[in-house]
Amino acid sequence: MTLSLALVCLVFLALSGGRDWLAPADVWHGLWSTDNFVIHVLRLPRTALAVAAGLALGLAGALMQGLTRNPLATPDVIGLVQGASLGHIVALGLGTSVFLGETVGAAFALFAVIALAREQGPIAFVLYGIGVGATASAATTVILLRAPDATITQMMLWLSGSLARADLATAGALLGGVVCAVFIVLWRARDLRTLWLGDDVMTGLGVNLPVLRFTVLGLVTLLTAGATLPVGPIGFLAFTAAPLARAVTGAEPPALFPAALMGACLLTAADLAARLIAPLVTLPTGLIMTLIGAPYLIFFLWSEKRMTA
Amino acid sequence: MARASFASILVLLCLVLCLCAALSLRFGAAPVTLDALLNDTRGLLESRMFRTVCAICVGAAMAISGLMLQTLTGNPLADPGITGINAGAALAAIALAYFTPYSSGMAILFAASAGAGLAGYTLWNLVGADRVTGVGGIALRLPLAGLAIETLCLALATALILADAEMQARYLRWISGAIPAVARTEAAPLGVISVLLIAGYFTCERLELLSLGAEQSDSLGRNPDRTVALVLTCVTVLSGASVAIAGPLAFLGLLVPFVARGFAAGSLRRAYLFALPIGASALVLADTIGRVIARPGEVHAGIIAALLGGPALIVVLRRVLRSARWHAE
Repeated sequence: MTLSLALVCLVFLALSGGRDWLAPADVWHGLWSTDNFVIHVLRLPRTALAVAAGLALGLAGALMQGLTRNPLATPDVIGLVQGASLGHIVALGLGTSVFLGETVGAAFALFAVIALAREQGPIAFVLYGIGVGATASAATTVILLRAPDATITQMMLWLSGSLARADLATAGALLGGVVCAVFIVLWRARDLRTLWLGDDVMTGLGVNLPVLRFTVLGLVTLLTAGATLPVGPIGFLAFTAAPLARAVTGAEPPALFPAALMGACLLTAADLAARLIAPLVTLPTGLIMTLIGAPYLIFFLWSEKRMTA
Repeated sequence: MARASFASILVLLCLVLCLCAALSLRFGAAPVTLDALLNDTRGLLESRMFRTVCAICVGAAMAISGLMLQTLTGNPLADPGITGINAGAALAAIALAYFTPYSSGMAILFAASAGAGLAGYTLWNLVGADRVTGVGGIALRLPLAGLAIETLCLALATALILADAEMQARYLRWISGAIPAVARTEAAPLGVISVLLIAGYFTCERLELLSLGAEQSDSLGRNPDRTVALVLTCVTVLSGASVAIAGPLAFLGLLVPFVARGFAAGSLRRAYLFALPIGASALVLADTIGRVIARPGEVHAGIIAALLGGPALIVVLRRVLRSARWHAE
């Protein structure tokens, strides 16, 4: 509830903020008349995309954390995002559907991590994930360097996570995808609530584990691919969203919807910050996310160390 | 017998290094015959020679820095790339170049070493004496803390590069790890690396004692804190100097010590001596391959190393995790 309110406020702020600030009344009128250039062409697509991608990544992160019962196993840490980027570049080179390429890339990375880390516990899972992610990003760089110069510049911007090329149609499609995912989550809500109780308890409660796992992994792959397609690989968003959401709202561990809302808030805020800090250059939004997320990871490790000491 | 095989392996590795260096001199972006190369007046041989020497020094430095870091943390995954030490050095060097363009090689070396030191100190504080938790001694904290430090530093460095057109022209190549072909001011870092590579050998004994445990080391007359400080300084200055020359190279420091320890049968000093030629050969070879496969352009050595290094990380993980499981059973 708090988070939805915060998101609405942030969206409004994102629409009015930028190189020139607009008065709240102007924003309100601009939304309903299609001839307001600043709102309709510049800010609305970007903000809509930030919200949609943030929702998708936040939800994917919380689902993955819930399924693996591991706060570190999110699509950006275990290499799914990097796999999706590799798929994106390969699909561009082959001239096939980019979304298909990303989905295949993300699914392949996920499959590789699961196959490598089978039965070796959560630590091995994360470690193999980091390895798979590193391999995928190195491969991306190699393929990228063989592309023509114009493509390289364009893709470098995409790879650092940019919302500059947003358009309303993509944002709408992604939002539609997120809504579908939310319906699937609601349909499986009862099973998903038991995720943190352990496999034995879940089987005891009559949850069909293989089906649930397959559904969740499929959802995570599609959400990651869908969000990476327009905005590029945004690091740390999926990783930070769920714990922050729990800290703010005090929700119980799976906390899927708070995490999704928190993801949207974070990405919208990061994009607004990117536009405010450097209005004339296209500062990548992914950079701002890294500046938020990486210190959070350091803080996470530091506080954990203090707790064990 | 063991002594003889140790010497013969070392000689063999040095021969391999000579072969790699010869290949690196012979082949390059420009296809030149051997006669033309030797009678060349345009300084082609000289530039290739310089490049090969740089690759040898940087390769050996990365390997040693990885070996010492792995022994110090007791974690086979620790390498200057994964731990973010290289990224810290790169950020400091880029920041220096951004605020005071055209600094001397020595200033860049100092800045890079300071950046590496800061990253290394942060890492040591986050990971600390957390030596044998997790599966098979692989503490998860180290790669995670490294991931955070690395992404943070590289993101800031990229932002500084993208902010300025001149910075883009000068450093976009460097940030992906490239061996320079032009003798600029790299002579100073090369000297520092050579001195440290020799000096580092004499810390092996302290480091071996420390890996038995802090109390044991103390009771045998070697202050563990001083060992940590010595080794960390050595590692960070080696990384700083390598980064000042060739940019942040990933994964070399992970794979080479793994191979060197495989030959060394438990002795750190042997692993040290093996790691020197293996690291140098690996980087010289990566650099040569990069120059040949994309004529007339080139693929940077750092990218070749990363491409080989990602799968290498997975291979190392598999070996370590499997042996850990085997011990547990």
